[in-house]
Amino acid sequence: MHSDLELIQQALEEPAHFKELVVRYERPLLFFITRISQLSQEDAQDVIQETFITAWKYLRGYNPKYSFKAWLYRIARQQTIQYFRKSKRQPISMDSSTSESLLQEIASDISLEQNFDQKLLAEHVHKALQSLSEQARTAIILRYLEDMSYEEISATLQKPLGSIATLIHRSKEHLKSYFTKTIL
Amino acid sequence: MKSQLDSIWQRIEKEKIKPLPKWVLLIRQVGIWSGFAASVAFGALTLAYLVFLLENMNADILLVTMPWEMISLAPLTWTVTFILFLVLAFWTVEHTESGYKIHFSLWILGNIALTSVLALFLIAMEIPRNLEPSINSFLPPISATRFEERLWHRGNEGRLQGEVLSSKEDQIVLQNIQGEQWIVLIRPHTKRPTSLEKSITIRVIGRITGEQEVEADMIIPVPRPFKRPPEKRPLEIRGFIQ
Repeated sequence: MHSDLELIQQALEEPAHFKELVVRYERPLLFFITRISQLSQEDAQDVIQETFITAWKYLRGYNPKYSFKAWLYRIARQQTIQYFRKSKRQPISMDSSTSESLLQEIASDISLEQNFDQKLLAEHVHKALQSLSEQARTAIILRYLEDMSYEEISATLQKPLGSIATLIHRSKEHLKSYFTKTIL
Repeated sequence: MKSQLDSIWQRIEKEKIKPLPKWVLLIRQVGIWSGFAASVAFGALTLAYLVFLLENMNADILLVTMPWEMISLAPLTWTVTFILFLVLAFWTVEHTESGYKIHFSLWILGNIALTSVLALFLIAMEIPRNLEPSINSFLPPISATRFEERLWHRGNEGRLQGEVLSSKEDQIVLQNIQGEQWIVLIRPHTKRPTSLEKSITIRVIGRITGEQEVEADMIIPVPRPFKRPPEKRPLEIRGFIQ
C-alpha cells in the first residue's frame, strides 16, 4: 500500500492517483464531520466534496513535514465551519452512539470511578460535550475517536502544541467534574 | 454509504480543476510575509514617531505636573495605529504555514520586542524628526508640531514656549511663535538650567501674575525646536485661537 506522500507525488503527475486518497479518507472524514457537527449524511457529503476539491486545488501547498491526515482534517473542519456560516445554522453536537464510543475511549483517561453506572454516564456524555466549546469538542474527538497525536491535533486546529495539551486537559477535567456533579 | 468518488471526480473534470501551480502558492506566501514585514516596519515607524512626539512634548514632566491634561491630550491616533499594525502583523503570521505554532502571548511579546528594536533604530537614525515636516504638512492634526502647540503655547494657562530675547538674573523676556512677548519671572524656587542665553528656545511652566507675565516654576530648554514655515506662524490662521 502506498503512503499518503507517495500518492500525493503520484497524483501531481497522474491526477487519477488522487482517487486513492479520496477512497482512503472519504469514510473517516464523514465520521469526523458528522461527529463534530451532526450534519445529515447528505450535507456532510457536500462538505466532503468541498474538502477534497480544496485539497486537490492546494495539493502543491501541502508540506510533507506535517501529517497529510491533519492537513486534510483541517480543511474538512474549515469547510464544515464555512458550511454553517453559509447556511447560518448552528452546529449541533454528536449523537448518542458517538457519545458511547467516546465514553469508552475517554473513561479510563479521566479516571472515573468504576462504580459509576456506565449507561448513565453515556447518557450524560452528550450533554457534557455540548457544554464544551466547538474547539474543545473537536480536540476531544480528534484525540479519542480519531486517535490523533497532539502534534496532529495542533496542526488540524492550528493551535500551538502547548495550547492543545491545555485544551484537552481542561476539557477532560470539565467532563470529569460534569459527570461527578451530574451523577452523584 | 454511497461513495463520493465519482461525483468528486466528475466535478474536477467538468470544472477542469487543477492543482494550483507552485508559483501561485509562492506568491501567496511572499504576499503574507511581505504583509508581515510591512506591518512590523510601519508599526515600528509609528512607535518611533510616538516616542519622538512624547519626548518632544516633555511628556515625562507633564505627566507629573498635569497628568489628566496630558492623558486627555495623548496622541491616540498614533497609539491606535501602532496597535493596529501589531494586530495586522499577528494576523499575517497566523496565515503562514507554521505561524500557529507560536503561542499568542509569546507572539505578541516577540512582535512588540521586534517592533521596539526597529523603532529604536529608527529613532537613532532620526527618521521621525526628518518625517515631521511632511507629517505636519499632510497630517497636521496628528503632527508633533501640533501637539507641541496644544500643550506649550498656552500662555494664559502658564505654559509657554518661545525664544529668549533677553535674560537677566531674575527675569527673561520671551517671544512665542505668535510674536507675543512675555516676561518670565525667575524666583528662588524656579527650576532652571544654569545658563539662559539669548535666542535659545525654552519652555516655561508657571503661574500668570500679570498681563503677559508669568512666574516660572520650571524652565526647560528645547535643544532642537521645530522649524516652522513663516506663513504658518500665527495660530489664528491655523484655527487654534478663536
